[in-house]
Amino acid sequence: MAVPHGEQSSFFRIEEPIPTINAPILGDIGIFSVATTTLTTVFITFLVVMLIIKSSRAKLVPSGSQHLMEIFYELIAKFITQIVGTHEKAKKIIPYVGALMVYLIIANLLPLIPGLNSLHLTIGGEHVLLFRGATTDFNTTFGLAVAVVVMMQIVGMREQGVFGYLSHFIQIKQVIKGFRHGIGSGMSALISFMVGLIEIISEFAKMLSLSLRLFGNMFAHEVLTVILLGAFAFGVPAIWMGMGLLVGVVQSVVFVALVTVYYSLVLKKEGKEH
Amino acid sequence: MTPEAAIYIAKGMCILAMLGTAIGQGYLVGKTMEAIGRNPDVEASIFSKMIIAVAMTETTAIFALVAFFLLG
Repeated sequence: MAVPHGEQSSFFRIEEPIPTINAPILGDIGIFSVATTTLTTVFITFLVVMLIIKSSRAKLVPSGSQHLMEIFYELIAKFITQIVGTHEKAKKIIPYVGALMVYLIIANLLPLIPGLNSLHLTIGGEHVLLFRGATTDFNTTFGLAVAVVVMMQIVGMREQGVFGYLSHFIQIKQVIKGFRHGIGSGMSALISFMVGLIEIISEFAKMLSLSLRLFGNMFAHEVLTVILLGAFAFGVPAIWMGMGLLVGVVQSVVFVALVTVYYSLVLKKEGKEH
Repeated sequence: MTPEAAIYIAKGMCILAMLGTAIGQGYLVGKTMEAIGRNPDVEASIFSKMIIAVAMTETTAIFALVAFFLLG
């Protein structure tokens, strides 16, 4: 899909091709295809590793950029404690979810750095962005969501035992217990058995809804930026790009908030008799 | 009707999903304003929650938008 070239004056227009859903492929390494978003992902990973090295050298008395990192950490910690309620639970959740937050905020805000959008490549006669935002590729967000959901299963099994966790999905024990009590409670146990099976599907639905939400927002933002630049190149796209700051931060906060809720649900059943 | 025309009609129908999202967001923001009006002290804590809820409500429209782009 490309913006049609009109006959009229293009003084107020900056015409660029509308980004496609699939990121353009640069080449192959072995069986893996390297897309333009792969470059961005590698770049972000490099930034995160730099951040880890920097934070491992933290001093007791902060100075310089350590102030900034501590402010950021405290914001995340406060936010997560607000969602889960208690400090003990928050301490368990922060290391994993905080890292996710840092990654997502860098990934969402990186394309807004002026200059990165000017680097173009020509592949097969078509101009493509060299550094397309990592979260505008469905593979990135789906990978993140799958990692999160798989992590939840592992945490659940660690916290409640393998059989204790799996018995939320396949509630055979409760059905047998219910029928021993009487036919009425047996029937209601049978219904909760079916609900348990639906829970399995909802685990997969979590993956899809988490990844599609992030991908859709970031990709739609990208496409609308290009369309606005093609329609009227002064003023209006600047406001929309400023909106990109809000969208990027809010979407990473939403992603992290949902992951925190799922995480705390897995922890919550600890100690409760089922 | 050519296949291309069918695609355009389908795209228009995709955008209809935004009707529900608009109603939901309006309700959400309206209720937030009402709560702030009753108790202005909680504005700071309610506002951030409203932003998150609005972003979640928006998801439905975003799903429709993804479908819109997929109907190339």
